[in-house]
Amino acid sequence: MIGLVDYRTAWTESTSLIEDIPHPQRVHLFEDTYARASTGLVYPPHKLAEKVLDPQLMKDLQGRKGKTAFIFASGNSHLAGMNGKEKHSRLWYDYKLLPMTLTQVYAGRIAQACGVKDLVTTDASACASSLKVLMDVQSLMILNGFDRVVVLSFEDPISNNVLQFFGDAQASLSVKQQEEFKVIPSAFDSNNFGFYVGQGAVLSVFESARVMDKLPHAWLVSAYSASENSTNAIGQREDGEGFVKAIEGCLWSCRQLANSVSVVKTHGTGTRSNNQAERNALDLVMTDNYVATSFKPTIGHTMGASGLLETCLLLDALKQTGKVPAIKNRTEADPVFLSEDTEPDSGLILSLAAGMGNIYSAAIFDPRV
Amino acid sequence: MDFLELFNEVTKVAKPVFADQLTPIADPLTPFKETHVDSLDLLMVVIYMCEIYGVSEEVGKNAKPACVAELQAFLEEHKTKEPASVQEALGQIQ
Repeated sequence: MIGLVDYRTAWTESTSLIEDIPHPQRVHLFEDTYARASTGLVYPPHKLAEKVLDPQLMKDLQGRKGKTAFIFASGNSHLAGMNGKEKHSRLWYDYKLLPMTLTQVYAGRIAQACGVKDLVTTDASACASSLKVLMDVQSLMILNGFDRVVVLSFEDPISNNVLQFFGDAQASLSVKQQEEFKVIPSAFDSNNFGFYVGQGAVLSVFESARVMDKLPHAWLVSAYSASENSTNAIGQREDGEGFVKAIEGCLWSCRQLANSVSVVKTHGTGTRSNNQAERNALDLVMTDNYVATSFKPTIGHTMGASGLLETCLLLDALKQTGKVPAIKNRTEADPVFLSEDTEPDSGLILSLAAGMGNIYSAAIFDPRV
Repeated sequence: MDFLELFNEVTKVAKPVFADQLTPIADPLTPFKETHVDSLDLLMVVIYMCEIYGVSEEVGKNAKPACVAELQAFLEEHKTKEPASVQEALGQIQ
């Protein structure tokens, strides 16, 4: 059995308006990550990562016995924001330490600080990254004899490059769209839709039961990723084929039926295409006795970190309140895609994520420890 | 200002975590390969030091110090400014 034994998260509900870019938009931003970035000596993504790099946990990891792997689920092989564009933007900087923007180099440094010497690797599965690597976590621990896998995940979401790319694609919610449609971020809603981009990070530790010296926060029961038959590498099929294959693969891997799942943490970007694809997939695969939520309307789309980070937030909410949080800004009463905080039935948690490049990931957790 | 003290403080900025637990380098002639300063740390430290001493990136790229004393000699040769204190220097790179 594999347990999620430790995690640290960083995220913010507060938003800032970035005006001096081609697609002005609100973002969930830790303003301090950009302090002195314009000198080229401070790198905002690393400042974000430092919010979860708990020295005490890392020191503790150095002393734990067994074979350990380190995975940096970075979403991309190179952190996106060199920010060469839009020199007048307050997000502009020209970082002088190029090697440190390479994700595998950064992974090596952090792994070293955690005392990990057995395997260091990265993952570039875009916004599915942190959930996708859970398939690797299972493989490493079940097939390759690893006792522990440390997963760090963050990206560089608040950067000129990402905001322009997402703005061009009309993926993130721009000021112009908000004014035109009179909407605020939400998911699976007829009135509100869309997301703000958000900074977020998660550091987590998965351990085999054979080396665990404390109860985990949850068991990692299964993880599976899939692609779909598509000619559009940045789009989603309306029928949700990719989500369906990921969910079914995940259920099959742990020999569970859909009715054993009581909570779904959706990818839940709130875009019209994701609303349709994910809802169709859930309608097809799931039975009626589950509730679904999305954290992106609350904390923004933290890209590669989102899948695992949001799962940890769900575990926090269940532990603290016993309830699954409602989807923020939901305007319609709905017993499934929640409009109110709801106490779920006892059961498994299904977490979903999707990433550009046609990747869909699912993971099943059991919070009953 | 004690250059060795400055070097040890700048090294802490370069290290990702546990910076406060590093053993300071005591002898400026100790080769870096015998210390906790690895090649990436050194790359970062040189860039930080060039910023502090007003050495251009173009010139700074030629710095290949094997120990603290060699880095100090390089900076003395190419500097266009000098910090008044360690605190002032750190303020420029953090």
